Amino acid sequence: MRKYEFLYRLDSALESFSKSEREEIIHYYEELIQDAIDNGENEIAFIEKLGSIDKIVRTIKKDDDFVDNVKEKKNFELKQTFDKGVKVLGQLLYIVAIIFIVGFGISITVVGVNGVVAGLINLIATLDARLTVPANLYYIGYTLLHVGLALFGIAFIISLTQGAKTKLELLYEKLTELFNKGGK
Amino acid sequence: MDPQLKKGFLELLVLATLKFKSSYGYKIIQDISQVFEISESTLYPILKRLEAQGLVTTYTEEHQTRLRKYYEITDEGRIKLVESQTDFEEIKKIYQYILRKED
Repeated sequence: MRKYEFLYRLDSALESFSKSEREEIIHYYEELIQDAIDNGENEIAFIEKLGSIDKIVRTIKKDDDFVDNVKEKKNFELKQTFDKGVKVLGQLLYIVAIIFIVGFGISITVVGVNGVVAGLINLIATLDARLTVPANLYYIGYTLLHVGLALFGIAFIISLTQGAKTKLELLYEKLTELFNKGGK
Repeated sequence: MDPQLKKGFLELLVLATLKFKSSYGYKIIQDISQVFEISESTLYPILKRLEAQGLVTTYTEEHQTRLRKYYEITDEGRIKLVESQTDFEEIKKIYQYILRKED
């Protein structure tokens, strides 16, 4: 096969490639063959050495994925920033949820403390009034129940806020990182 | 040689041929062939790879009434070559282990 026949056949085999890439490949082989001829090599023998056109196209196709991957790496960085944004949003939602739940915990505690105080006052009142035993028992039970409620509320708040501090620190870190990246 | 290993070495070999002077396709193959087997069809994807990674750049120059594409190593390419020295030390250690004899 002579140079022009080879290039023509190669070009036809590169149909699935973009126009610019096709031209680039053709130019590469055209230059290679011409340089070989200029260097005193036999045209037909050199082209034979290049191997089948099928194999040439396969070799290029196999490697195209890699070049695409490198290009995608740039998109990847963009995606990473986006992912970080989503993470920050998630953490913000977490903090809001924490605030609501802590509010719930505080209400339980307040109800509990309020009940303890009310129960004690009523207990003293019943003692003062020298009422029957069941009434005293009722207020003792009432007070103890609210002590439990208040303790539950306090424990609830403590257990929740323990993780929140690290979460807040993490959020702060992520935010500064995001802004630093955006500022670049 | 293992194809993946070969690919990695060929990238380095191309960079090494461009270390002192820019070169073109045919010449690169001739230079590398002195130390390692390389075919014309394998060089093209390697050059594209190196270009995509920013390790080489290209420019076109006129040569005897026709245009010739030259490949030039970038600073990143030079860094890659220097880094390969550390790889060499590691590979040496790996092979010392692979080929070790029973005590």
